[in-house]
Amino acid sequence: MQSVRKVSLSIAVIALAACSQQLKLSKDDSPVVLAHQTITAPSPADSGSFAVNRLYYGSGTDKQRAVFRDSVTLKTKAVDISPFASVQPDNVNDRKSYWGFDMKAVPLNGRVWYPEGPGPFPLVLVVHGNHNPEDYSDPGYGYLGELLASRGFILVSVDENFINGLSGENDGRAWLLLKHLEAWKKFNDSTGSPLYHKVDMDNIALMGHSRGGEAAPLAATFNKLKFYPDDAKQKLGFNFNIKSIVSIAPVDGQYKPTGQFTPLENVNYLVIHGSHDGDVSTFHGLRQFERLKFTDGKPWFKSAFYMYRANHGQWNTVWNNKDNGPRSGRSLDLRALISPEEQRQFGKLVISAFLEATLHGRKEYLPMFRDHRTAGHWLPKTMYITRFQESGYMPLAEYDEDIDVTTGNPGVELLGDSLSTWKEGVLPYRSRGDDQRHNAVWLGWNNRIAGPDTMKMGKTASYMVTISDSLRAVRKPDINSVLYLSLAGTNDKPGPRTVPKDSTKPDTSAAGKARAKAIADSIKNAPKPPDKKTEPDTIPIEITIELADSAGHGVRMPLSRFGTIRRPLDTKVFRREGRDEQRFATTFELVPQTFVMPLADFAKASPAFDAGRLKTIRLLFDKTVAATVVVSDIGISTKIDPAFLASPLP
Amino acid sequence: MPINVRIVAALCFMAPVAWTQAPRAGPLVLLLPASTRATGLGDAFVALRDDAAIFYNPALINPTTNGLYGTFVRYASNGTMGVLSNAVAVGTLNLGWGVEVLEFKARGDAAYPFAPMDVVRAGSRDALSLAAAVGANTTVKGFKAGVGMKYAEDRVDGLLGASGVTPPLRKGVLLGDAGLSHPFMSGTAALAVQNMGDDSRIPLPIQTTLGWTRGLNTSQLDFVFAAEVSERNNWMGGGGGAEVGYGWIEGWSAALRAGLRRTETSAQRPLSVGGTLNADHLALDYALEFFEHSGYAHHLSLRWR
Repeated sequence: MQSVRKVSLSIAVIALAACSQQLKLSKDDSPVVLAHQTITAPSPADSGSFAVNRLYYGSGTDKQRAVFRDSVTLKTKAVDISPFASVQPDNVNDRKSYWGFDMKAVPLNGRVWYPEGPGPFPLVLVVHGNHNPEDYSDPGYGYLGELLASRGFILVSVDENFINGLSGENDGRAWLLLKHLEAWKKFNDSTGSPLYHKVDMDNIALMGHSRGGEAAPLAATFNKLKFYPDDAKQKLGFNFNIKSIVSIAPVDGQYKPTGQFTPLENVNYLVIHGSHDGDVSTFHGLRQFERLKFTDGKPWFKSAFYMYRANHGQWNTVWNNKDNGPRSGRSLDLRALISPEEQRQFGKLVISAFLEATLHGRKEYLPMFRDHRTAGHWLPKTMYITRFQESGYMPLAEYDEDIDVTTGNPGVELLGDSLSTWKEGVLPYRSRGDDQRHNAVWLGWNNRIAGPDTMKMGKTASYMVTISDSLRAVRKPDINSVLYLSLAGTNDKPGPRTVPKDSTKPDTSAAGKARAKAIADSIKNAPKPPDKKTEPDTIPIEITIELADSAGHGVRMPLSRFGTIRRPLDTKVFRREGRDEQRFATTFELVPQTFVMPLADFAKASPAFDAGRLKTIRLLFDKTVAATVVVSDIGISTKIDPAFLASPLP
Repeated sequence: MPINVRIVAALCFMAPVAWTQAPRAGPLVLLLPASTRATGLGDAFVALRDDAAIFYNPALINPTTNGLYGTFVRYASNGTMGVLSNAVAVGTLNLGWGVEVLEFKARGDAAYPFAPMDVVRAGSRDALSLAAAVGANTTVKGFKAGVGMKYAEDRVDGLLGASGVTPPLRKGVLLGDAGLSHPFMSGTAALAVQNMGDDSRIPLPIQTTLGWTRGLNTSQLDFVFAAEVSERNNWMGGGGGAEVGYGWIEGWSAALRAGLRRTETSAQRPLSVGGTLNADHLALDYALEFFEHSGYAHHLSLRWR
């Protein structure tokens, strides 16, 4: 009987622990990376000086939402969203019965946090994404509403719960945001409104989470169109002054106007995404980031933050850690997550800084988008990978231009030397079959020569970008210019270089025979190429950047001065052993870090170097013996706002 | 009292209180629970989508659990039953098939058609009861409508006893089933008419069953409630049961269930209990059915998806 109990207990223990994997996280380097705080302004995550008022607007007749029925200060008319969002025929009656309206008459409901004072205040709309329609998502951004209103913004959390659970409706989500802006124009223009002349309709930001994160930039695109691209019978023509977009863990490409990814241009853009997102598990916002082009010469910028250990839902206090539904704990490894408070603190910090910079003109926060280490004490202690570009950026090599690995953009030559890997290809996402729709170059090296002498090194591997005289004449770099480099480390480590073949005639002398034997022995004893099953290389990567002018004056600086070079961050989203490997092609997302390198820093290091005659940019792989990196773009900016370069690290 | 509970209670108590035995009918295999899960739920299975729905209601043949479902039942030390079933989707049609084979020793004095208690009472005549069924369903105006056909047969060896020679017996019959189901009160209501056929050779268990079931998912637990009433040759039967399930990690879960039913004979006990362990593609169901004189039937099923 005792043995039966033991067996039963063993089975129970095995079943209860079934297949759960150990927590695996990358080593946290934040004590070093976030050790500095060079921005001296007050934290943008701190409450401001305004008293905060709150109100609701909406239909006043809402069947399910008491606040939009009983507590509305401003009434709005229903709108017909049916050309943009449709319900499966089987669900039409159920949905209408639940909500009390159909797609032809959806309400414009919003909850508002606004500052006490005469204004006018910039207007920020935030919209949730897809979630259980009956678990209302719009209250989940209250923490942003309280903060932003205290800092002089009007924040509106838009209710789109009634289109949750549909598919292919993100155009409807975007259109609805624009209809809310129409309502806001009326609120601002109506003398009886408590918001009369308090709204700065020339300073508008749209913010969206998840599907809302596709809707917000899409709304900015629709805003400039006269007609709905998929049916010109539907007029758009909104033309609001949308200056900034914030995408929080967005999806991308669920809606494709005319079958294309949504084009984006001339708007400030911020995207944030968590590595441990259990819903939108790939950093889709990077595609939005890449597609956004600055074409009108105005001072825009775009920024991306990849936050290690953040999930999908904790930026919304309703969603929290339920990325995979109410029972997320059964499928997702919630132990890996950063705390909800820290994740929201990060959200408050970067979103507030971005809106302060783009809508209030607070330039003191700009450096943290160029190099997040300038805000090291503000940021919650985890790891971040950031992308950045401002409208002065001009590409030298983006790897989408052609299939010739030796050429970049017109007037740019590329040359690899002593590389083990030199290839261009599309940047993959970790989700199988999905990619970033952007190419990059893979550069792998191993400076060691194969053989028993592990100290024997060959020529240092390098990768050089050469700018033609004609291009330099057009770009006109100077001491105030900056170089851009976006680069990610990988876990791949090429094997040592093989000994070159001896093409001369055999030396039959005794010394020659001895030499030949030594070479043969060294080859025989050479270490075998790395086994693919071995653990990934974890030695930190360091790279030297060498610039030279046309007179041959060179200067070198370590790339780590301008940012953190990291290998991929281990990301296991699921609880079950092997589930991540089954679901994803890799257990990390390849996110290049943007390094912004002021030419002035190089000139300071070597006064002989003439930034105005910049000729070559060389990545010298001299500090790390062997590694592989991915470079997604190299560029130069001659018009960067000096405010981005303020508060440099010591 | 919540309306769901009232519905279950009403269905359970619609059956007459009188403890009359069900009229004899055959083949015997049609009177026995075909599903382990159903056994644990008081055999109230007419409104549940499951691999074994082909034996309860063709309207609920369910290809979403695509895989093979096999059941082994041991009736005391006297009888053994095996069941296999499967379903696939072909276009808008859901197709299902199933086979049941029961082997037992019938007592020499057991009257034909046999009753369920004859499976557990030790005998000496080799007996076999089998059924093979096919069915299909589709959605028509929001209703799931299904039809099924089956062939069922009883075979019993002859016996030379003190009272003389009992001749061997073999009786087979072709039967038809029809069923409907529709969402109702946050659950599923279903109606099935089973075992329609020519009863000139054998009194058939032509049965009409009305049932309702509902799944309820809380933040941690899954509940299933099932109830049904049935009418067979002026005999009212019925039953109901409840199931509670818990999953602690994706792919692994366990469930416990218990059911009560009005039995065919007084030799059967109304209570039955059961459980399930799901481990990824594999599910193991167990149920215990009680008979007179501390007799048991152990039902064990394996489902591979």
